Amino acid sequence: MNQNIISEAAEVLRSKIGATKVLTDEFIRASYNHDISLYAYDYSIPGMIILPESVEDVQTIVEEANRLHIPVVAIGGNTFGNGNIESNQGIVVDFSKMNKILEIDESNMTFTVEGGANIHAVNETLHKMGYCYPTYPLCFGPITFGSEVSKNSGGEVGSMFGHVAKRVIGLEAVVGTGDVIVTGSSNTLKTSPNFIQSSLPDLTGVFISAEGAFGLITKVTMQMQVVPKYTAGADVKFEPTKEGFKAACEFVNELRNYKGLICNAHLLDCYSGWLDERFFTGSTDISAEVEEEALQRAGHIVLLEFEGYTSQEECDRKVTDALKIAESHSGVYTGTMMSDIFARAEHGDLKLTEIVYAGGFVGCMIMTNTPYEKMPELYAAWLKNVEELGLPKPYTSMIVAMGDDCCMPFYYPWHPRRELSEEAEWNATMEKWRELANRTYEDALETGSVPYAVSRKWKPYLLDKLDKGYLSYIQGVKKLFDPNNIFNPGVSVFEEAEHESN
Amino acid sequence: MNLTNNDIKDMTQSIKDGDIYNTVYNCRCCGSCVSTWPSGHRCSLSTLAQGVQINCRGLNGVIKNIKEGKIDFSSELADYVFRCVSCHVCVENCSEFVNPVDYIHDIRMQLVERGLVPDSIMEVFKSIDQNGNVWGEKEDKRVDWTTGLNVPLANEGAEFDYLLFVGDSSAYVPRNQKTAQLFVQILNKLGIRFAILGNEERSSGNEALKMGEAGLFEDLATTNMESFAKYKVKKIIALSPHGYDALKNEYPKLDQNFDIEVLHYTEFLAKLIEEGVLTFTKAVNETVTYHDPCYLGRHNQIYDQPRAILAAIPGLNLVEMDHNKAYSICCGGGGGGIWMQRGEGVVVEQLRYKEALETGVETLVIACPICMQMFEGENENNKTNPIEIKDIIELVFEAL
Repeated sequence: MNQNIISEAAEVLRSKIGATKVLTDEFIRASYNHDISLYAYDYSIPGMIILPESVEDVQTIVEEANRLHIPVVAIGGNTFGNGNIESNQGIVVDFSKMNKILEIDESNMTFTVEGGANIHAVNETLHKMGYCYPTYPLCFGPITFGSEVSKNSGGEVGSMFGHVAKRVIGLEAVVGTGDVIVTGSSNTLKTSPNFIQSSLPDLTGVFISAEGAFGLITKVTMQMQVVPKYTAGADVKFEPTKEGFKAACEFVNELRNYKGLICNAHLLDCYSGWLDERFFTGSTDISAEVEEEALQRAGHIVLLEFEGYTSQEECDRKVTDALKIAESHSGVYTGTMMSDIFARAEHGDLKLTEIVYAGGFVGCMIMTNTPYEKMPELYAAWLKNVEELGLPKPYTSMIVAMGDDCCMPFYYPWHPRRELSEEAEWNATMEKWRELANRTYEDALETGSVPYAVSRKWKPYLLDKLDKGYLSYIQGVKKLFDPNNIFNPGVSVFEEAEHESN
Repeated sequence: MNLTNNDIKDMTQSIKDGDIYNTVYNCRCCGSCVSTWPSGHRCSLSTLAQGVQINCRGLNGVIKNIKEGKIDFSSELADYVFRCVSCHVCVENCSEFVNPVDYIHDIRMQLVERGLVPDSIMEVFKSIDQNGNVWGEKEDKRVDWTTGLNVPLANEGAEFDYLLFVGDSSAYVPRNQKTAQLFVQILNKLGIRFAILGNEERSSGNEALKMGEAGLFEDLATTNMESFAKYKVKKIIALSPHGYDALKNEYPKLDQNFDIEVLHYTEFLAKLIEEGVLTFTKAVNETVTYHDPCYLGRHNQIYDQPRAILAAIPGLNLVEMDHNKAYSICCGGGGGGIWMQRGEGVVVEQLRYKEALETGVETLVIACPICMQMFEGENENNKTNPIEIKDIIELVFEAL
């Protein structure tokens, strides 16, 4: 990126939106050169960081970027895993100062927040009123609503509530020309004054999953719900064999057909089960001698969570029904220790960090939406790849069951990174993780999985697999919304039409 | 503060050679360290609100870039890292056991070695070096607070069971002197055999260490440990959680034979209550809220003992703040924070003070002299609606 152009833009933006919002100190820019992706190689230092405080600020930023053709990447919590930010030498728009709750509408059961509002902070406020935003993102405290929508995240209780897309009522975004667009439909909320496009098609969906490629989300209205009064958990163990894993998947698959029965289900493989057990019980013995015995004891585990709104008995009945189904798949009820911990994490009295990485350090994380019946196949391929790459044990994979019609595996090969004292050793291991990621992408596609991102690693697969006709329409919309391709250039699938036309 | 090119080169090389580079690779930049969920840990750097990455998570990237030769140290970075108040929110939150405060500490040490620290911090170092305390007071005034009280000195030769480590803030700051005076009266009432080092006591060194002056800390600790040995000290009661942390956790690192039982005064009093030695005869009819000091709580996991003392005081009603125990918000005074100018944005002490006011109680109770100074400072800024601030010692004294 031409430094003169960056300097010119910084000067203009300082004069227009205020000097304190435009940060160019080298160390500050350097702190923004990465997200949580492990797969990128080409880290760059952004030209400037901008902290807008209003939609007008965002408009001004985009107008200036558009004028000078400067790339723009928006971030919320900066916990994205596909590396959009890493090669960006242009502008990073950090929404952390646009974090206000604008409205909590109890009559319509919605709330409206600025794009940079932190999900957990908003949930704290909602909880005090007896409500919640139930799609808890699996990971990361800093995550914001703008990024949640841009990514169409899932979350820990997605089994019941599905992805974010199902809960977005409408939003406000600044598109590539600097124009502000307000989407939504009052068909859903007849009394809401926010969404005036009632007789028109709803363009909200254009911004969902777009990773900021169509516009920068400055405001979003979401559905909320009443906090369940009662909860219950159940840990169900399956044999630590391939057959046991298959039985566990079949159990989850059957269970989800009983609508309203489970709130959430986590399927942990035997390695993850063992490691979680070790973490929660405080055991520090990970010697090889105890491994085999421990794995047998742990088995594959399905953690079930139930919610009740009328009575504890309601929850308990759900548990009883679920355990009958488990029995028919050779699942054995082993108590509530782990499921209770997960439930507590979701309901707020347990720290996020006590639960999320119970299995250890995260090496490679792949997110896909995979049909339940294909999970054993994908899991087997995963184990084979880990073995072939010589990745050290213990490792773990954690699979979170989600959605009405899909599930989303999270894979966590575990490795005690702190033992990698040599940089070369670290780099060699990282290469293996990258290769593991590559292979898993391929395997996921083979099993009919749906990609869970539109950029970077998924891009070549998406361009190959997606319906060309549909993609060309989407690319056309991108050109309409972002004519100079300033949002995430070079990253997403959406700009392909631009390239072709050139 | 001006960094020369040679300074920058040296520091950059130091980062490249140092262990910190391996530490940053343990970090996956998930942001848990600065997370606000579920109960709202508040990182002092993040609350200064210069963006989602400008905190220990972002410093990870800074260090990597220094390593890779893409950027150099700068005076802006130096100014920034001294705003951390070492509250251990990041340590508490980190799921990868990275201890993100290590980034800050490592960078601070390198800056200190070259004298490249903010002026206010440099003044503290000078005071410690010249006077043995952080407050710029004369060494021989350390025992002024004992005037008129029966406070035995270790060098007087009488046998004692406990050495009372007073600490700089209780010895020199008038508001905290009052607390220290009440504590020795409590000890005398209970017939506890104790002594103080008097003018032989030096700053515990906690602040020096946390601000990156490891050499100065070592000198102070060595002097104090020599005094402990000279008077055959077996047990220490520390009035300040900062001194307590240094004595309990840092001194043994310097001397593996350091074998002294170190108690914070809340541990000591709670134990006496449990044993039936300390009982209360008067009611203290107040509704209070308790602020967990970082160096007592997150640094040393002492959450129950202060509450046990408060629960034992007749008539006292404790109302917890939303953020309590491990989720407590810092008073802003630790790690040199008490001497640092605040930048733009929300500062943690204001968040905490506001939260205490919102409980609607009469009294904010603390167990740390630094917290006392920070919150009294907030009261100065809020003269229309201040909250009474008391040390637990004062409540215990009232109830005796």
